[in-house]
Amino acid sequence: MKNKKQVNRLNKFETFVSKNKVLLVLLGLAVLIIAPFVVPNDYFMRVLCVILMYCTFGFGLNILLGEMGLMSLGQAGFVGAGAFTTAVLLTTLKWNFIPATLCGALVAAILGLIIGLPTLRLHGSYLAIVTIGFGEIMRTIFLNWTSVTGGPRGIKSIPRPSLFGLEFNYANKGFYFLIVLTTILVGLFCAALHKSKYGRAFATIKQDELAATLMGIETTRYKVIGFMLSAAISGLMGGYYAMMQRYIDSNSFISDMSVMIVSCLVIGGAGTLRGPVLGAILLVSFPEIFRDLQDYRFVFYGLIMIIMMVVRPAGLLGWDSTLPYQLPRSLSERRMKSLKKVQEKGDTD
Amino acid sequence: MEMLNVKDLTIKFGGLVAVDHLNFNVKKGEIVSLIGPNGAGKTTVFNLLTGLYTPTEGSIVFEGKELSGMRSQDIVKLGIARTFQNIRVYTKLRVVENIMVGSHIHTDYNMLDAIFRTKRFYQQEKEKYEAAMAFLESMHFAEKADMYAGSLPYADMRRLEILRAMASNAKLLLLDEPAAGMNPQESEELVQFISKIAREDGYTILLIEHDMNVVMNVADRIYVLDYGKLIADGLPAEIKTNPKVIRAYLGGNQ
Repeated sequence: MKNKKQVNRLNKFETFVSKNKVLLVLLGLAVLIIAPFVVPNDYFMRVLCVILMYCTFGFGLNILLGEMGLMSLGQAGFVGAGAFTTAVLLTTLKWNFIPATLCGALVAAILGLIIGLPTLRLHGSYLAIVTIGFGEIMRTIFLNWTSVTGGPRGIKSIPRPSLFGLEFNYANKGFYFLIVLTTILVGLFCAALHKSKYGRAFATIKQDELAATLMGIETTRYKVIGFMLSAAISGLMGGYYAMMQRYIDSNSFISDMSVMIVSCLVIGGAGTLRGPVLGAILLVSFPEIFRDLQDYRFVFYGLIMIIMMVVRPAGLLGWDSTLPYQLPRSLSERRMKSLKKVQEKGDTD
Repeated sequence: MEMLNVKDLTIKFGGLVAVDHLNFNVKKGEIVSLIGPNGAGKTTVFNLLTGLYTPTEGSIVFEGKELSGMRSQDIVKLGIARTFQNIRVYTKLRVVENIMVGSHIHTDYNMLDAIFRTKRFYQQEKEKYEAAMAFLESMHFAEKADMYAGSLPYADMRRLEILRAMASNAKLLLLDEPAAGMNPQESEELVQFISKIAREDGYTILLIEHDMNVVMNVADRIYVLDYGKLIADGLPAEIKTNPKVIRAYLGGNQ
């Protein structure tokens, strides 16, 4: 049990955050906008992009692990599916990057469905093992389906995204802002889903699936939806990953990536959106700062994971809100007001 | 006219006949209690009624519809909701959210509504939230609405589970040992609560209970199960003195 003092402190903090929400959001946006202009070179730009990518991968896994309590250790498989689909569409078919990345998300979602359906009865470690298997199968496919994925040679010279002749790259910061935009949109999507009957249904599945079934919740349907959304989000960002690396092969999507995504969530706090953000910042920037320890990276991850499980299983930023329940508002209230205005106008006419 | 009519209900697990040609009925507005020693098959009956198990034989008719073979989710939609022997409230959700989960099946919007925050989404959420709050208010539970269900006292968790079942607009509530683990005062309050929702709010209740004080005080009629078979049924006063029932509970040769 948490003690009173901690709860009080948390309450004060949360009250402060909710009162100054607009200000804090603006501050966050300002940081995101200013960041690329203060970093010294393209290398740091790339680090910023990778952080944002892992945020999104984290958001994707959060739907499974955070919301529904389903452990997936095969997220790299979904990322890879999205990346290869996008890469093929960009290079051989010369598609525009928007439909290409969306197709990548779609292919990943279909894979999510394929992996989701047979594993509906699995939980915990069993599901984790199956998803590891899925990740490996995907890697083997990337390696051996030479006609499409290039096999061991991979896919080279993937173009940067461009729109109406304008290329989004590091030099004009376009690529960075494209990823910022995508990450924010995915984040808003996840937040909207969480604060709706979908979020509640996911939570009931995590906490007590039998009770959920007997409240009439179509648990099977929600789990499949969860798998597909998680896969689609990972696949979408996978497309950006391909465009950032400009070269991908099967080694880009090994289980290290899946473990890293899980670590982001565990360290930051699964079940929240702030969790993967912090997790991605810490886990992506750390190995870059401590380059000398690069080889021991996963030793540290393992160590951090164990310490977290023991000391703070909810993650650094994982806590139960102390504020009263809040109806989903913000967007909608304004929307209702504008709708009302329109209606009133219509009535008086 | 019976609301629930169970005929020759039988389920076998391998060689074990857990429920054996059971016949019983529940009329609208009644409180009917199902009692029997441990392992008599009471909870199995609930699992059959809620579609968790499919009966080997027999029929379950609820308001003219045959339930056996139906999925649990569809049975809930017809108006049967249950609670569990070991509490199964969503401890990490708030009390009001637990109630809103109860009304999940009546919350009508799709994913696009949720993502784009359409008028329908907002109206539905608001409506369900307000209904949940009004409901909690009427049950004198409103001051606990924002608490996490896991931080409620034990007896309140039991009560919340019943409230959640009621929030699904159920007509028939199946309560599985609601008084388990309660002290005498708490079970006394529970008796009043159950009587109130049946007499005033019009719910029909089928109740499994071991606490004989609760059963004798609240039940209109009692069915007694032993080894999956019905051994007695009748009014509480009759059951109390029925030699078969006493033998089932206390043992003995004759």
